[in-house]
Amino acid sequence: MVTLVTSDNEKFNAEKEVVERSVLIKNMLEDVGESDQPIPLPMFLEYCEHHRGEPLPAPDADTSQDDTRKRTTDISEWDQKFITVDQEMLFEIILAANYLDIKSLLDVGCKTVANMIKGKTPEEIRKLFNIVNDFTPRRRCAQIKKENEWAEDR
Amino acid sequence: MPLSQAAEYYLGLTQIEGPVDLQQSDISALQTLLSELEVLPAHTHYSDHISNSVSPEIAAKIDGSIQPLSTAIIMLRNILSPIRHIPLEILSLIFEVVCLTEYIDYDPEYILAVGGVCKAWRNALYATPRVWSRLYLDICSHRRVLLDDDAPSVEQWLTRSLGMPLGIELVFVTQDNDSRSYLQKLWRPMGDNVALMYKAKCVTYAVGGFSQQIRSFKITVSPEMFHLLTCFNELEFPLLETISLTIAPKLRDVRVVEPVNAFRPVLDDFHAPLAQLTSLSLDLRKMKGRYESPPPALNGFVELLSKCENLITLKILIGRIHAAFGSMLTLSPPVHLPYLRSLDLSYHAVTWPTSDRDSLLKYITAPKLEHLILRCNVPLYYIVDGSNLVDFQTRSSISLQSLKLINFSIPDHEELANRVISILAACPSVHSFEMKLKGDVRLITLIQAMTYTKGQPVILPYITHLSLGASKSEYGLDLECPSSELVHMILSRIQGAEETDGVVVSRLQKVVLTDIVRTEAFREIYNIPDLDVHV
Repeated sequence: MVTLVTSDNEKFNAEKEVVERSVLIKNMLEDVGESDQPIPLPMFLEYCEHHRGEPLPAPDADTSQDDTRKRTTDISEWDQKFITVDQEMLFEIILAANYLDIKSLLDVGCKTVANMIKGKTPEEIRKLFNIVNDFTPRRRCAQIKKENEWAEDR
Repeated sequence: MPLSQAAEYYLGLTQIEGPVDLQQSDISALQTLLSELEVLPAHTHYSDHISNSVSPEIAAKIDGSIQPLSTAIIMLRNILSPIRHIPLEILSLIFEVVCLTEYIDYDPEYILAVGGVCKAWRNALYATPRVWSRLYLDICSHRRVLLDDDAPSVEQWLTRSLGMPLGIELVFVTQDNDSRSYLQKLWRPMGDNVALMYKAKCVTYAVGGFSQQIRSFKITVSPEMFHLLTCFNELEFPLLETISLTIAPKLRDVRVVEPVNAFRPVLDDFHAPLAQLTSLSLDLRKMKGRYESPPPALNGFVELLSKCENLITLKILIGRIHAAFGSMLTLSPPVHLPYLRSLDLSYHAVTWPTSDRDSLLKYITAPKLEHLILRCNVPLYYIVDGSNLVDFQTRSSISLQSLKLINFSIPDHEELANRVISILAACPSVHSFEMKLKGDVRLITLIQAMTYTKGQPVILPYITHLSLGASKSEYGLDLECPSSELVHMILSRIQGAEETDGVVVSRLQKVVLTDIVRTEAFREIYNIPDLDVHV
C-alpha cells in the first residue's frame, strides 16, 4: 500500500498497482521524490482503480501517432460518467492527468473538451468557456466574413 | 486582498496571446473579486470596489477603458476561464482531436471555428502543425472560400503543416443539381463553371506543390474536371501510401508514372474504376528493387489487370519485379483481356529474388492483340524466355500485326537467334517487325531463316516493314551480320513475293537497318522501286 498526502494534509491509501498507472507517481515511488502540485486525488484514484490491470500505453505512443491518421472522440460509458463534472474540475483533471502522466485519462479529458467544441461557432465556443473575443475590430470583421464563407450554403 | 503583479498584468491586457499563467492564490483572489462584482447592482462603477485590490495605475487604466460593470465581470471571467490556464501542448492536443477526428465528422470549418475564438487560440492553432496536415476541400461546399482571395489559401494551409506528412481529400464534383444551378447563377458573368474550373485548377496546382509531403490522396472528380489530374504529371510523391479516385464515370486512360517506393500500396488502394479503363500505362522504372526495398511482385500486376477487362492499350515499364508469391501460383486461367490490341512490356523478366524467370505474358490472354512490344533492358544474364511469347500466342491465337523486340540479349548468340526464330514462327501474321538487339550478337541464323526460297515456307511471310538494329552496350560490339546475307534476304522478300502452292509471301516495302556497317553489297537494294531503305 502507498499513502498519498494532499497539500492540505488529507491522507489516502491505495495499492501500488493502482497509483502506478500514473507514470509520475511510479517514477516518484522509484526515485522517492516529492511534489506540491495540487491534484484531485480522490478522482485520480477512482479512475486508476477502475482501469487497474489494463495495459499501459507505450512511452512513445503519442509521438508515433503522427500525421494524417484518423482519430476518434469515442469515450467509454464509464469514462464518460467519470468525466461528467463542472468545467473547473474537468480542466483540473486534465492538468492532473498531464502532470501525473496518465495518458489515457488525458485522452479522455481532451476528447471531452473536443466534443464540447465540435460543431460550435466561435461565438458559441466563447460563450461556453467565458472567453472574450480579443481580435482587433478589423480582424474581427474579416473573421466574421470568413466564418460565414465557410459555413454558409452548406 | 491585493493582487499580484501577474494578475494585474492580465487584467491590463487587451489581447491575451497565450495561456494565462497564474498562481492558485491569484486565481482565488480574482475569484473573490469576481464574486463581489457579480452581486453588485447593474450599472455600478466597479472601480470603487476594486481600488483596494489593484494598484491605482491599474485601477485607473481599467476604469478608463471599461466602465460598465458587466464588462469587468466578463474580463475577469475571461482570465479565470479554466481553459485559459491549460498549457499550450494540451490545448494543441484538444485541437487535434477537434480537427482530426473521423472523416465523416471532419470539416475544415472546425479548424476555422477554433482559430476564430480568440488570439491565444489562434496562436495555439498555428502552433499545431498536425491540424494543418489534413485538408479536405469540397468545391461545392466551400465554394465561397475558393472564390474569395482573402480566404486562407491552400498554400497557407499546407505550409502551416511544417513539413508533416499530408492527407489530402479534394472533391471536385458539380453534379448536385442545386449546387450546379447556384454555381451557374453565381458565376454567370464568367460563364458556366469557368470560375469553378479555374479555382479547382488553382487548388490542384497548390496541392501539387506539396507532393513531396502527401501520404494519402483522395480525389473525387466530375468527368468534366478530370483533366485537372494532369496537374500532377511529372510530380513525385515519395511518401504516398494511398490514392483513391472516385466518381470518374468516363475515365478511360490512366497513366501512373514512377511512384518510387509506393507502388504496392498504390495498387492496393487504386480505387479508380478499373473495369472501364481502355488505356493503362504504368511507368515504374525508378523502382530499383534493392534487397532492402523489394520491388513490386508480379501478382500485383496480375491482380490489377484482372480488374481491367476492357483495356485496349496497356503499357507497363518496370524496373524489376520479383517472383510471384503464393497467390500467384494458383492463378488459373490467365487474365483474359478480350479487347486488348496494344501491349508494351518493358523489363518483364522476373529477376529478383529467386532465379526463377517469369513473364507477365504467361498470365495474360489477349485474343485481339495486334501490336506487341517487348523490351528487356536488363543485363545479359537475364533471359527473355521466348517460350512465354509462344505459349501466349498459342493460348490467345492472336493475329499480330506488328511486333517489336527491343534490347534482347543473352550470352549465347545462337540460342538467342533460335529463340527469336521460334517467336517469329509463332506469329505468322506480323506485317511489321522491328528487332533491336543489344551487344555482341550474330544474326546469321535468323537472317537465313527469314530468307525466302521459292515454294518453301518462311517465317514472317506477310512482313512489309522490317527494322533491324543493335544498340552498343558495355558488353559487346555492333550487330554482326554479313551484309551480303542481309541483302540476299531482303532481295528474296522483294523478288520472291508471290502466291504459289498456297504460300503467300508479301513484298517488303520498307527496310530500316541501324548500326550496320555500310558496304558495297547494299548498293543492290538502294534503288529498288517501291522499297524505302534506311541504313
